[in-house]
Amino acid sequence: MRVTQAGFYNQATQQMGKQQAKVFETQAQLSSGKKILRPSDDPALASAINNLKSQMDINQRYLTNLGRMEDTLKMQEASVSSSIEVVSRIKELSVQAANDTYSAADRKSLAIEVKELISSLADLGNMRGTDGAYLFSGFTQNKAPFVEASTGVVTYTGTHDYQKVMVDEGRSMQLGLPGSEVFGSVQHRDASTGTTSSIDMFATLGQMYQALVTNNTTEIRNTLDKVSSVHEHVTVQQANIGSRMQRVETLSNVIEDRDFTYKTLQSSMEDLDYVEAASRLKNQSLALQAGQQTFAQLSGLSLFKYIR
Amino acid sequence: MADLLSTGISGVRTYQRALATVGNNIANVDTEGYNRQRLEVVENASSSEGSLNIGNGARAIRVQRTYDNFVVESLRTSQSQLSKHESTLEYVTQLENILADKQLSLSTSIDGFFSAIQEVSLSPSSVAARQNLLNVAEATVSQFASIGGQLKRIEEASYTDMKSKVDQITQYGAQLATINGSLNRATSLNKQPNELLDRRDMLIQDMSKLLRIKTVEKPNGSVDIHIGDVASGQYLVRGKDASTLGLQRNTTNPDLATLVLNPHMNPQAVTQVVGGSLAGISDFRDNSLLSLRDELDTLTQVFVGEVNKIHALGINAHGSFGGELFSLGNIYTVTPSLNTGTGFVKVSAVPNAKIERLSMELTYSDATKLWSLTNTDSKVSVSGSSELTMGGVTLTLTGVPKDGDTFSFKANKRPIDALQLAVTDHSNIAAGGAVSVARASTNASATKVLLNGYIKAEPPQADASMDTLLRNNIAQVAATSVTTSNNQAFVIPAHTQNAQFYSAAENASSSIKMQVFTREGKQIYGTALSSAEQTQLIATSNGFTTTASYDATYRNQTGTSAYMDAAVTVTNADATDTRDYFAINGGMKEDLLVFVTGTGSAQVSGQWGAIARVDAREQLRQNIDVVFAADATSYTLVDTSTNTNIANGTYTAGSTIEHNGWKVSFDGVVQANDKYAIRGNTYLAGDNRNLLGMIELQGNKEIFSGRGDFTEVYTDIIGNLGNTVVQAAVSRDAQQIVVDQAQQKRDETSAVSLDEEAANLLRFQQAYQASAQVISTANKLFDTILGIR
Repeated sequence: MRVTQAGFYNQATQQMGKQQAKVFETQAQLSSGKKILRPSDDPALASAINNLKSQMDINQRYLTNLGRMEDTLKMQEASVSSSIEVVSRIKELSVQAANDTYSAADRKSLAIEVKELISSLADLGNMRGTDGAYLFSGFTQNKAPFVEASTGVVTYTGTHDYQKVMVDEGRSMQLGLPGSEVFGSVQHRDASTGTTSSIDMFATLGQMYQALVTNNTTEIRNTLDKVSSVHEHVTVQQANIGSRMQRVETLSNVIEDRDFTYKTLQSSMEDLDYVEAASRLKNQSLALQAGQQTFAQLSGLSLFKYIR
Repeated sequence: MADLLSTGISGVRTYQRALATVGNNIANVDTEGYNRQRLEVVENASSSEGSLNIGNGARAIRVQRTYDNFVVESLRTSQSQLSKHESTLEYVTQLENILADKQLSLSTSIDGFFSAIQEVSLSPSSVAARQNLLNVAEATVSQFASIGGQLKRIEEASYTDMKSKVDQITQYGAQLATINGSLNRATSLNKQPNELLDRRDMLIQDMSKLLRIKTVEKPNGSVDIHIGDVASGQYLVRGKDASTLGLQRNTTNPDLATLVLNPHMNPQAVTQVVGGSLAGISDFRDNSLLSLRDELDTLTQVFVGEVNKIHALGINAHGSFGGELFSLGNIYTVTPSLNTGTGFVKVSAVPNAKIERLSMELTYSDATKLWSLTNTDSKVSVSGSSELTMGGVTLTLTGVPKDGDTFSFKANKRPIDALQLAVTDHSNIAAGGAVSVARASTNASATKVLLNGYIKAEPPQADASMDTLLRNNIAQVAATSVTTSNNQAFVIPAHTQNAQFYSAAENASSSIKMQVFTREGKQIYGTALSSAEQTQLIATSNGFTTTASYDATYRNQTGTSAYMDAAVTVTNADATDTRDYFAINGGMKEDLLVFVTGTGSAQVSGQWGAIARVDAREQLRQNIDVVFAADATSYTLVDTSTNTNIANGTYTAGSTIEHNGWKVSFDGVVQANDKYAIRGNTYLAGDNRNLLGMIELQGNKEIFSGRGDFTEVYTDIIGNLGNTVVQAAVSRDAQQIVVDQAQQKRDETSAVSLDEEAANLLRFQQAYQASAQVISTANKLFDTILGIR
């Protein structure tokens, strides 16, 4: 083989160039901490990482949604637990009023308090969430759902719907409860006939108020059972909201666990093994050094040196 | 006569030249394309002296290049191939850098868009959340545009790159032609100057790096150059003549560019582009780049199409149906010719269809009253009066055209570049559902009604049987003969304005009657049907729905008793006219089926106005009550505004009820006389149902015909690109080895080795010195002779 100047230099520079590229690549991996710097480093793994990242983003979204749901439920819960107190008080006053020893004037004064209590119950139903939307209005979030007429009659003007929120892939949950469920229709079982019918909460309370105003003791006694049903209903609603909050929490835990699994997976997929990379860098720079030294030595070999 | 002096001089002269050759080799040790030279030395003819032949020294006959044609040829072809792979790699790496950039990832920005929708779904009435959605959507659009723009720039850069390389080849060709001219002065290769041949070889090699060429060498060393890897007959250089190489963009699809020989005089598409960087770039443009852009366009179109499809079924804050959330603008450039009419054309993309980027021409003909749209390349054409679809776009035609009015269409923006946000006001975001359902508070059961979604978003195809059968002329003379039958005669399409019909028996003895029904079996006009006739007529083969049942409540009723309170006329105003007469003033929201029953045949004439264009979505707005009968196993659908019973049905627990495109079910047991309201929605601030539909798109794996959801498809695209880069790199590396070997071979043969030259220097120097000594000896001999006294 004829070794020529051009051949020798070409080969030497090429070899060193390749070695240098390897050192550079490892150095870039080390400084970024990632195994993969661009998709072509490992197309299949890069795809998997990208898909995983998207999954993680979506997962985060579910967590945010669940957090918001929890906020809404907490506010609804606060409102419902206050209304239990209000309804209890109405029930208490009604029981008092049913007492034969009470006079018309006594009942009238009770009626005034009952009216106030009904108003405050309506106010509780008209509570707003942090975003300014009414909590119990169904879909008509921009209007107070419980409207109190000058006669004291409270009617529900919201819708019977509830927002749904995506909480997991293909799974949605009710954001809260509509006012028509919490402060609307109440299942009432007539003790004498044994039949169950649905009655309206505010209508029932209004009925009691009217009975008090008109001093109609029979009506007061008749309505008392219904008021009890109302009381029972709001208590059930509180439990209902409580169990929903529990479900939200369980689901949050599941999703947080999944998030953790994803993070571990992501780290194992894309994070660099520093020990391996550092030793690789050491090897590669050694090889480069060796190449440089031999090149320097060999290029000094020339017959011309000896021709004097 | 042998002459020692001449012999010595011949040696001195020869080695002087040999030393000069060595000197030249050393001087050119680093000259690119230099082939080492060697002096060829031969003995001089001997002179005979009696029986002796005495040698007469040596002489140099020529300076020979050390050159191996085979080695050079294989270096050239392998280098051609290497340049091709290198160029491809260089460009696909650029693509990869753009798309792999996390900041530019489309899947991240699509995820962001859906996340913003989720935020609105949490508080639908929040202006802040809605405004945020618009901002995020705008950012998503600019992300698409940014990637589209970068790809466009790569396309342009690669075109410019090709163009400059093409010009370079033309220049090389011209230089080679000049060299060929010089070489033609000699007849034999041996007589050609070495540096001219070196220069020739360098040019050929440089050309090969740009484009694979085939050389054909003549005996005198001049070469012809063909484009391609065989003698294709497409000459780049032929003797002293060089051709011009050019690059031309395709007129229909400017994204494609082809190499053209002699672009100015006699254009000829280059048939073989097989190697060299031009082949690499061209390969990249026609494959990787084009398919990537097509894929991203598909992604864009599916995104726009699917989001819009759902958005259009929602209700915005103004209480109307949502428009487009995103649109594709300027996908075609529309150029009208000197049109005299007022015809106007609007181009819109067909959701989810591939936009084919055609060149099309639209012409109106007065004779047929139709527009016809022609693909100017394939000459395929379609015609129609108001809407035409071709190559992924729909043209909507309005105005009054004149005969010969023409529009031409040229592909303009790609979908990814054409993407725009169509909604700028947050109140136009259609968050609410189209239909609300509720149980009546008076129901005995607490069972709730659930909306299961919408089953048809597309308007039903209009039935053309009326147009075919009748002449749209009420005059008796224009009547058509129709044989009586229990089969449907024709259909009056929904929204047909002011239709009226006469029918008369052809034969006095025969009895005939027109019968008009809705598809649900509600009789609007005619004679009461016997139960046998009911079974025969009310059949799906006659166009009735599967749930249709005969109902004569509205038969021949007018005014507020009429079906849907329609302005129906059932008696002939002219009492002397005995013909059967039926008319509807205005239009009906649904199709009507017309029968002509009896014996014999009838003369039927009819006249009607236009079919009003009604948004197909509007039917969702019809307010309907589902009223269960006393047995709770059958129900009627009642139009609440006219209190008309529009359909009957039977109900079994768990089954769904469908009408007008909605579908409902019940979450419990339905009791007798239960009533459920199905209402077309107006604006409800907290309604987020339509948004939930959009959110589900994010994980919908069906939208790309099973390829996966948005993220998976995008990831797939990036993955494919990654694989392309890997492949290109592997090919490049493999080819590099081939080139290295060829280069080594060439260097072994033709390059200068300084050690060898040093040895030669010493060798020739000694020979020179010895020859000089011979001269000196000859001189001394001569002096010896002269010194004899």
